[in-house]
Amino acid sequence: MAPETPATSADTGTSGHDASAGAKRDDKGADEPGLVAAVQNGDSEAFSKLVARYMDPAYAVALSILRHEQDAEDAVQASFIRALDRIGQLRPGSRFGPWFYRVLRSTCLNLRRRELLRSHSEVPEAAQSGHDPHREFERRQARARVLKALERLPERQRTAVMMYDLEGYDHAEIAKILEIAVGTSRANLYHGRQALRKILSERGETG
Amino acid sequence: MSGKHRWPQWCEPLRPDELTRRRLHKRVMAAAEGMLQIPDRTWQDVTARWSSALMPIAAGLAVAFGMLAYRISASPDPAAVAQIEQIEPSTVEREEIRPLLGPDVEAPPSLLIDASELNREAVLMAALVSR
Repeated sequence: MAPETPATSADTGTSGHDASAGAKRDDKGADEPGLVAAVQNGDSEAFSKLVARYMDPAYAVALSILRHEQDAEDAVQASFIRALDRIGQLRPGSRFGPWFYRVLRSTCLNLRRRELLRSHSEVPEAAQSGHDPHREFERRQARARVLKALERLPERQRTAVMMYDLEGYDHAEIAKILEIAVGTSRANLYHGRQALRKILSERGETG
Repeated sequence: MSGKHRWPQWCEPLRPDELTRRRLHKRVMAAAEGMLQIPDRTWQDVTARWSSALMPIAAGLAVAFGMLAYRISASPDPAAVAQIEQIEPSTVEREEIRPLLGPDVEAPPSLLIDASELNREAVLMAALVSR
């Protein structure tokens, strides 16, 4: 187990965003229970807001699990639909995020397990987007590097980094979900980010 | 935790580009279109929904009871018919015999002693009459 690290040092692991780390955690999605209640009543606009809010992290999480863009898209779509189908299970006042990420992870793992991913692997991915091919190539290279770097992290560090940086959990929430101490979560994040930075810099990527 | 947070630099490459984001959002909303229906809110809606759900069962029960009632009324029980036939002649016979009996043949109602409820008056009256 990694030694526990003070909060200040843990949150300085990655440049560019740590100063805002506390501020971003202040947004706890206070309007989420209202949005969930509206979706439960069939409000498509509320559902659209939830989709827009969770689209980016959901895609990133799906991509980190499936490592294939088209599969990640399919998984995100399936997860949102699955979540909508079961939204009645959410108690009033419950938050959408943690529950949705469970649905997403389950969907991704099912997709990977069943190996339903081969059908569109032959489609040339560059042809799927209308971007500049050079920029698209660079983006894909960067994405592949990050995914490989994540893959090299120890499990607990990878989990901490993904939950904190991608999914937006705070340390108290991570500690509760993973049943670890808050300090352990901070330490895992700190060491995870350090390792990530080191791996990316080894490959000429400063991250 | 919220979906809205600033992304660290390292995971920017994992973010979907704008085109992917729009396409995916559109796909999700299109797939969800049929599922986003306004649910029943009023008690009339709930009643109507339950009524329509229970209608076939109620109709089936009504038909079954109707057939049962029809069968009972259309074909009476043979045993009951036989019993009625057995009882009918004796009734007729009694009706025919009764006028033939003389008025003195029948015991006067006042002399009847109710054996189940013997009392002093009745016993004395019986002794008086029999003497």
